[in-house]
Formats: sequence, structure tokens, C-alpha cells
Amino acid sequence: MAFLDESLFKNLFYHHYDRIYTGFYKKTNSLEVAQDLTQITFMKLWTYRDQFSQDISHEKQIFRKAKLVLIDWLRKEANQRKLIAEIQQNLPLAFTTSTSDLKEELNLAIDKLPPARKKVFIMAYLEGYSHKEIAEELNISVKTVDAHVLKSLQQLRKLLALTSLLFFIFNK
Amino acid sequence: MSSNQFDQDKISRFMSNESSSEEANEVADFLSNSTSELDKILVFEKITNDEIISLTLVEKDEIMRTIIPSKVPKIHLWKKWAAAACLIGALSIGGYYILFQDKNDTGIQISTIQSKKLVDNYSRIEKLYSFPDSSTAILQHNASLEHAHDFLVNRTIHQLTGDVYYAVQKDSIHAFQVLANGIITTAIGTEFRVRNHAKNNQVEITLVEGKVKLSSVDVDFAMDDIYLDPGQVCFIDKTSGKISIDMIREEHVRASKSSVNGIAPSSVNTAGIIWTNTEIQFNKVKLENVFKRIESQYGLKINYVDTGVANSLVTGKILRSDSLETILKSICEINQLTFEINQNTIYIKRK
Repeated sequence: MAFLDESLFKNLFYHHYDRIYTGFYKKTNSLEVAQDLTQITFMKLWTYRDQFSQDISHEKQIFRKAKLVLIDWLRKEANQRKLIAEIQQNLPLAFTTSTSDLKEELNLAIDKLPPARKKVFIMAYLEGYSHKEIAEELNISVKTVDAHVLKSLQQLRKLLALTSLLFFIFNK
Repeated sequence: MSSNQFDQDKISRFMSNESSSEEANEVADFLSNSTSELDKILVFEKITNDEIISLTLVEKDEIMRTIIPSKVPKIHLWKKWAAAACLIGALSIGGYYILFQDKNDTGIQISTIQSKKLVDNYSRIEKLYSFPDSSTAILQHNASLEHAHDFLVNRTIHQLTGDVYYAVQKDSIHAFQVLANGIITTAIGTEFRVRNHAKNNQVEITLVEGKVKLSSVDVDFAMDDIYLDPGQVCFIDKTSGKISIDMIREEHVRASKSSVNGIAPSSVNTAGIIWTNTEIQFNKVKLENVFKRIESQYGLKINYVDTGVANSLVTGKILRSDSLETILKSICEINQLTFEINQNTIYIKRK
């Protein structure tokens, strides 16, 4: 029997929120990220409430949901690292900025990509889809996916090269 | 090494956020598809009561409403919040302050109401943050602040911890305020710095440009309003009650003790750069240095016939989204120069 009504959900939320929040904070070292991930966890719990089971401990189910959210985030982080490393290889400068600064730069730069290309790029690099999977999901050829990813990398390198150049230039 | 051991190392790296991308995708897929494996990973299970970070009931209410919207009209919710926080005809800021100053801490009390934006910096270098109205803040290591989402009309910032340098966008209708340890700094079109030494019960405000008014909202600390002039720094010790106002010295103005990445406040006396999300402002940087770097990094030659050019100081601002040509154009325009790109050489001359 699967059932999670509003009152039970609220109970679970108030009871478990802090522990989930703390767990995320310990793993991400950011209050902001921890808050986001906790909210996502409970939102998912509520959205998929018809999958909730009364036969398994409530806490176990919540922890499972939270872990899946954490795994998603960790996957994204690893993919971002790879992306940053690739882009750094081709930049003309040695970077003196910290990775977290570069991540911010990177996100701003990704935001500037044209929409279709951006979608493909995010699926490939931040969400871990293979080019084949993306092609199927978006109903385009694998070649198109390859081209989008390649062009995105080129554009990002250019954008980041310029900002890193200026960053470096004005550094005394 | 058995294959089981191998997998465990991969999983351990992944959970410590140290995997390569390929490994991460592999482990993520593996864990997502096996409930038993997922249950083996201990994250939330092993947190002790001492470690728990709590939100208040009021804060959780706000978050809950984003998941299951309440059918009650918003104004009643506000009243409920106010009542719950035991405010008596007080500003939300004052009430918020009371929440934060709860002395009955068993764990760490972190106030993070969902309707507020929390900005923190736990990286090792300064972090730049742009407010919705284009004001900026440079947060030092371990600094944190919060503001409401309707920042364009409510420019009140609660500086929770640490050292933050503010550059305020002029808006004479909406006062820009920073609340730190019971002291409110009110500013209009200025640049100033607030250091919240909460542990020592001290606050220090440095005014670089413009005007600020300092007032106390702490019921236990009475203070006449203080108006600072540019170049003054005010140090408030709430324990001894001593308030001192001095002239700025160099160490008050520099936002960072280490010369990291050229981030410096754009005060009249200090050369350097200020970065925001959208633009770069530079103040008195030697043109010669600029050219040298462009040369070596782009593999171009820059030819400046008139040596007088090289020593001039560049002051101005450029947008990050601009191309190299646009940037050269800006630099040249500001300094009465022209440039020409011919194959791999940039020729720069006085106008």
C-alpha cells in the first residue's frame, strides 16, 4: 500500500528536515547548497508521494531520496571539474583563481550559449548523458550532438580565455 | 585486489566529491539502480545530536509553503509569522535580529528563511557578489550575509558574520542598510566596509566614499546616531561602550591582506580593479603592463610609437561580454588613443 497524505508529509518534513540539511551541509560545505538540496529532497518526496510505502521505515525512505539527490549533485560536480580541466588546458594563461571562482565564471559563460547548444551541452557535461542518449532524447542525430558540444567548448574557451586574460592583466 | 574492494574505493572517492567524471557517472548509475547499495552509504544516519544544524519552526514553515502552497491568503501568513516570532510592533529586521540573538543555543542557530537569499563565502579567497540593483559586496573568507528577494525595494542586508566591503548603487528612494551585530549602517551611493566581530561584541565600519549613518537597534546598547565622512573609520566596542572615530589608514581600505588577484576597493587613493558579474572597473593601472600581457598571451605584438603612452594610467570600465577589439577600443578611447590591427600587430598611437 502506497500512501503519503499531507499531514503525514508535514510531520515527516518537520521531524527530519534538520538531519537532512545537516547531512547535506557536511557533504557540500555550503549552507546555500545544503538548503537547496534539502528542499529538492522534500519536493521529490511530495511529488512522488504515491510511491511512498507504509511497509518500509519512513526514515529509510527519506534518507534514500536524499541520497539520490546528493548523488545527482556529486555527479554534476565531477562533470564540472572535467569541463574546467579541459578548458584550462587550452587557455593561454596559468590560472591563479580558485576553482570556485572559475566555476562561477564557467556558469556565467554557459549561460551565454545559444539555447539549443546550451541544452545539449548541459546534458552532456553536467548531467552525464552520452551523446547517443542525448541524440535519442532530443530527436537529433549524434553528429549534431557532437557538433553542438564541440562548438560549445570552443565558445567557452574563448569566453573564459578573455576574462582570465583580463583578470591576469590587471593583477599587479 | 578483489573487484569488491575496487568498487569501494571508487564509491568512497565519489562520496568525497573527488571522482573523475567517468568514475562519477559510473558510481552514480550504480548506486541509483541498487537500493541495497544505496542503503549501505551512510550520510544522514551517523549525524550526532551535537552536530545537527537547526532551523526554527518559522523558517521551516516558509520552506514548507514552497512545497505545499497554503490556501490562506498571504497577509494572514505574515501576521502568523510576526506573532510566532513575538514581535511587538517591530520591523522585520529587528525581529529577525532577535531570532538570531537567541542565547539558548543547544546547537548552532542558523537563520535561513526561504524568502531570503543567503550568500556565504567559505572559499579561501574573496568572493564578489552582485545584488539585484547592481550594488556589490566583496566577502572575505568566512563572511556571510542575507537579504530579501525583493531587494530592489527593500535594500536591507543582514550581515551575519565576517568582513564585507560594499559598493552601493545610488538610489535615493530606497535606503541601503547593513545590519551587523545590532548596528545598522545606512548609506546612499557610497562605498563602505563593515566588519562584524560578533565574537568580541565589536563592529567596525569604514567609509571610503559618500555618506553613512550608524545607529543601534540593539535594545541593550544605546548609542546616538553617528554620521561618518569619507575617510573615517568607526570602531564600536559594545562591551566597554567605547566608540572611536579615526581617519582611514591603508590597512582599513584594502579589502584583502594578501595580494590576491588584484581585487581592491576603488577608493581614490588605491590603484586596482573591481570585478562584478558584468563588468570590470579599473583604477590607475599602468598601460604598459596591460600591453605587455596582451602581447605575450595572445601572441601579438603591440606597437606604441609614443613612449609617453606606456606610462599613462588607465582608469575606466569594460563589460565582460565584450570582444578583445571592443576592449581595446574602450581602453583607447578613454586615453585618447587609436589602434589598428594589421596581421599580428596592434598599432597604437596618440590621437
